[in-house]
Amino acid sequence: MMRLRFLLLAALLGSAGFWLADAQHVSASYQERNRSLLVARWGLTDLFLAGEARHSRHPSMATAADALGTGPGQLDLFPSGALIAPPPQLRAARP
Amino acid sequence: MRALRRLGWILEYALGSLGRRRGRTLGLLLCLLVLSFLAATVVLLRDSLRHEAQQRLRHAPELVLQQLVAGRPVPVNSERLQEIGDLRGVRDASCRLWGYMADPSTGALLSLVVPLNGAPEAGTLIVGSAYARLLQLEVGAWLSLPQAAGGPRMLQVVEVLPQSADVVAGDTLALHADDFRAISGTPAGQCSDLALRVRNQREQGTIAEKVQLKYADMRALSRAEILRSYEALFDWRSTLVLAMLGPLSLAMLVIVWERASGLSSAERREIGILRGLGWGSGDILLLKTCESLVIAVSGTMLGLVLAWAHLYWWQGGLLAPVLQGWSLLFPALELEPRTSGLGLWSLVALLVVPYALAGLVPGWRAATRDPDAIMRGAA
Repeated sequence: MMRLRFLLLAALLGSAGFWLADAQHVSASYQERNRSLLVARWGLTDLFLAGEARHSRHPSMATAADALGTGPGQLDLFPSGALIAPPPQLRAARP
Repeated sequence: MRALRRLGWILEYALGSLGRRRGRTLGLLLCLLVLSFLAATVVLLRDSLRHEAQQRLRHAPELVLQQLVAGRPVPVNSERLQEIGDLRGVRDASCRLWGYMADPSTGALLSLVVPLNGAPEAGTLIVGSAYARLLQLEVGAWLSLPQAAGGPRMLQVVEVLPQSADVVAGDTLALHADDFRAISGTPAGQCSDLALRVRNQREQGTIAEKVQLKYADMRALSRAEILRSYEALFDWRSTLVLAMLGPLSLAMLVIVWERASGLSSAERREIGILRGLGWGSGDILLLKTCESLVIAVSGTMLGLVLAWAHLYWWQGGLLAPVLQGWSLLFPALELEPRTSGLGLWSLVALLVVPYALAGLVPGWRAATRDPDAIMRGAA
């Protein structure tokens, strides 16, 4: 019975070890791919995280008015707008 | 060696004691597992996306120039391209053509782009895999896109991007400039914005200032600013992280509070009997610490392993709807497992340490009372 319980603990520690080993393995396989090529060749500026609105599809290209762009006095309609913060340069005062 | 053997026996007793309260133990284990699973998913997702942004966007254009009218970006006349390209310090200036289009058959919002290098030939296009999945498109398929002047434009798919490119171009159609102009309605001689390469990286700021002096309605975005946008997006204080970790912290607080607020009468009786049998209060505290640690460590570690499998093997299937919002297209999160470790270890510490400490308080209280009184249920 005692051995069985310690086996359970060992399994937990083993799974943690596996998790670390998996990290090394998968990282190595990803390094083989040249993942940045597309961005350089096509001249892209943003990640595709949420595609529903301009300011969440291309956050770095967004202007201060984009989130309210549907019309004067309109609120941001898009759920992803609540998660994706405006870029810091929009919040900074410009000369 | 004796101390180690004693610890082994106490641990064995703790496991047996947890086994006797199977329902409660499993319940707590499940709570911690779910908490650590959700929190670790957020931490791993944040670390991977941050790495993805740093790795990919360091190849973004060095300087992007937009023209704004009434606060909105408008097409830039290509005469400006020529003049800005002639500024001292500018290596070359390119006309970027890109925009959005609502797909007529599905209503999905697509990004259209004319690659700066390697654009497909006229009449053909390269399709991002998220859109290809939605329409089940393959190489050789024909796609009909509406033109700005009316009527359809037939384009043949010559390449479908791999899923690993989803995180930058899953929703993107790459076209020839003529096809882009016909579909988007951008007249010849106009660009969506301008991309500059500069001779000396340190002169980026100066060139941006020169452009803004010449054209007050233009704004410049440097590559560093693009990278900073994503740093801010995946910052610990960002909404993306706080919105998910906030409620989890409150749930953890409830569990720790429950643990610290007292022991059940059965647990108190057990402590009384052990004290009666000669266990010291140090042994009791060690026992309670072992019980807490077994639950906290195993629940947290199982949650971490599940989070890992969910994000990297199942591509974050549960998270997709959160980022998806109203959009029909969403990226397959085929991310590189890349974590600084700091986030995860702080997570383990935040879940395990408070839980283990919370168990000590009532344990100490019961261990220092008179065993006879505890067994009689007086304490």
